Amino acid sequence: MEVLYFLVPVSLLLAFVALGGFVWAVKSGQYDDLDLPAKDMVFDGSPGRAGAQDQDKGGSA
Amino acid sequence: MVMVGVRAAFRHGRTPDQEGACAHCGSALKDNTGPWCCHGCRLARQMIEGMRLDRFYDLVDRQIRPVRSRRQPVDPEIFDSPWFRDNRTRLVHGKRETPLRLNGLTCYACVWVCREALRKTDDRAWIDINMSTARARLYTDPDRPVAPLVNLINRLGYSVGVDTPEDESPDQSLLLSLGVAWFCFGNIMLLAFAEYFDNGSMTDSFRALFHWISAGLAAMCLGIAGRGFFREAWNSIRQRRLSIDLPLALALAGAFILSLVHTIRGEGAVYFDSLTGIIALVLTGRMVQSMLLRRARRLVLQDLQLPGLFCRRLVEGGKTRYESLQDLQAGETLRLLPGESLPVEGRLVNGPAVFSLESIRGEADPVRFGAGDLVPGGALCLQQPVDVLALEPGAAGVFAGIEWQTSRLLEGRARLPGLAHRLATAFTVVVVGSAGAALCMDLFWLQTSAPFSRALATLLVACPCVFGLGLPLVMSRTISRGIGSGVLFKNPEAIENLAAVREISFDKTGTLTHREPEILCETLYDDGSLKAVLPRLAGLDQHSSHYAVRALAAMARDRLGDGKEIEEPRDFTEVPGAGVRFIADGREVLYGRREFAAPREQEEGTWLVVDGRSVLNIRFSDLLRDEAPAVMDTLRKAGADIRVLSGDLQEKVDAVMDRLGMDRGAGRGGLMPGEKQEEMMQRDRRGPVATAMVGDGLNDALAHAGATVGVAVAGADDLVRSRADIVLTKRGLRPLLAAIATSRFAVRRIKQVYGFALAYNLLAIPAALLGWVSPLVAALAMPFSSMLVILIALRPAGRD
Repeated sequence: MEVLYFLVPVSLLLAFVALGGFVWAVKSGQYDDLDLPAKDMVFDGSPGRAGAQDQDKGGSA
Repeated sequence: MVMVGVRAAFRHGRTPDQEGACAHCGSALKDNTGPWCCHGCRLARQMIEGMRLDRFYDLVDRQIRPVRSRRQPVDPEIFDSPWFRDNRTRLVHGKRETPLRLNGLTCYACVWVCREALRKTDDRAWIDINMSTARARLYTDPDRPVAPLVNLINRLGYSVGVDTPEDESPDQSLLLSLGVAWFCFGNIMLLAFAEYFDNGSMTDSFRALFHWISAGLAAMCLGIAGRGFFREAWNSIRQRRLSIDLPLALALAGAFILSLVHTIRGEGAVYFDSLTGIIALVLTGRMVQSMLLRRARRLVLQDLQLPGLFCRRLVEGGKTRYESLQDLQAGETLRLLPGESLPVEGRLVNGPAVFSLESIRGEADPVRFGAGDLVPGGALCLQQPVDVLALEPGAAGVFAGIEWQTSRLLEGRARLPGLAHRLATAFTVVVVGSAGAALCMDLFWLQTSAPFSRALATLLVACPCVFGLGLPLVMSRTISRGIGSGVLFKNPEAIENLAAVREISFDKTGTLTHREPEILCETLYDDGSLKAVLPRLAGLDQHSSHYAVRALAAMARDRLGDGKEIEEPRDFTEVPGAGVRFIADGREVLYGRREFAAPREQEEGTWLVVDGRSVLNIRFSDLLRDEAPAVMDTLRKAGADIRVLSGDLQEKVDAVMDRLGMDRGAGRGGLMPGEKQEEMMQRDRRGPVATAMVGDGLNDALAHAGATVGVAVAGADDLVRSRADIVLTKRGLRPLLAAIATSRFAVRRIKQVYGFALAYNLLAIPAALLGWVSPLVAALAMPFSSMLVILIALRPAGRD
């Protein structure tokens, strides 16, 4: 059972990676608008950003 | 590609290509003059077709709002004014970022059409739209004006408003806390399970490892997610009031310290799982409630154009410039466009002009002012643009004044202590008291070896989830129910207060009655004659401010569209109580009652007759709202005391009371805004009677703040809606009944949740005091009781 001394910390580490991912997602505004991005994918042409692709676009949140 | 599906998704109304439906929004047409329900819809459809964005109508999957029903957009020039550029926009990577609020977005198609139209107009600009918040950011080249782009969106039928900074989203931090809490709770639970199901084979070193890991996670949970509880608990101690966060914070801190001591010593029970579980569940309840409250507030805000933000100042050369109202000085000249309110008291420069004082005095009839006359602040400009010399600085104006007075009243208001608050206080006293008693007993009398465990067990099992989870869920459910039935509760206290209301005061004009009669239906008999006289009709309201004349002129302007000449009618005479007569294109035009204009016709209503030919029949709605008598009746049967407080003349109030079948004594007219508030405050002082004020005008704003609950009806002034506790979004008075029913339902539910809590605690607290509650029991009891609370709170309606 001594392998647990290794496995438990490793699993915790993994969990912290997931938590970090969550924190990143919240902070970068992934949860700000839950409707629009999903629909943008479905409708072809991705209208909004089309004219913006060549420009550096920041601060969308 | 999505055609078939979306057409089926129309739940009410029709699709735009059906017979008898508006070609843009699909709402049913009320007259037979063309496939548009209004001029705005016509413009929008023509724009969309002209830019070859017809795909919009395929993408639409929800009823779009008719353009006429949307709020008047703010003047796009605001966004280009130096003040706005300097204070509200910023440069991001070489682009100017202009924050906007888009009103009237209903589905993806709306977002799509805005973006596409913008892209086709200016390929160096783009717009980021957040559909959940209806806010948008427009990115343009810094030196290009944004007004043409804003105008474009306006013409598509989405009115663009000014984004208010206080609407920034604070959800992120709550969401982060919630994530951390569930993360810690879940991982601690995994470790705790191993210990609960231990059959004696677990070695001490494993147990120590698990305890230390749990301690670390619990510390993280307390530090990040539990901070809010400690802050609120500390505040409640400082302000000497009882808050539900106080026993919660005590339990959390106590449980953590004791468990940590046991972990260090390597013996005794640890409660890390219970304490993180409480944090996770309580935060979840608060998150749900805050999300719904924000949604309700956003629905209030989305149509709002707060007055008192900007004014249009006249500068050299007859030009105008937008400036912050705060910077306006006395002696400067303002220009007002029709539909705008005068923010300060002023002297009319060019007259005559017609203003509505409905909002400030409750008088239904418009008032005519001449050049040089004093115009009170808050007066609404009705016709042509006028210039007004400001007599006081913007900061002292009526909007600033009402804003300041209402916020002062709202702060100092002796609200009834809500049921939830009283029960929470009682609960806090009992729980902290018994925990303290247990601690004293163990310390001084029994002198047991582990003096803290019973006190702690009491705090931990005493079902804090009733408050943390049960109440927010009941409130959330009520708020979302309200949103569905056209009632926006802006804070949880409003729900409880409304349920307790025994006395309801109504404003008359705009609340019990329509602000002015509206066109119910138009029947066109002779299109050719109407078209010939339209330019003259459009100028009619320069001569008379009667509502029927103004409605006709507005309709004529609507039909004419932009850029057409408006001509003056000749030989205008008005016969009071009958109608008007004038010459247009050499033809005699009569407009008025049937007896006056078209005695030969059978149809009642208001007639337009050109050279003896009946051209148009207009039916106006009754001044008193149709549903008013029935609503009053229902309220009285439910035991409410009803009064009418109005700024209008006493005889007009009496007439309304008679029509409502109510005692004239309950209706008071001629009240100034301050007197209305006095009336409300007197009731408040007389005893613990919860009062409600239902109103719409600026003259009700103070009374709103003086009442226990302030209710704003649909169409109320922006300032009133922004300050009221409850805002009705569906027209008329019926939503008020829905609001009362919903709030009473909520209070019944609160009582049930507390009933359960009482029963549970009668078992749990003695058990804890007797020392029967081990960490395992505490850890099991917590989710079990929480689950029951959730079930009670969310149980379907109908059986109670």
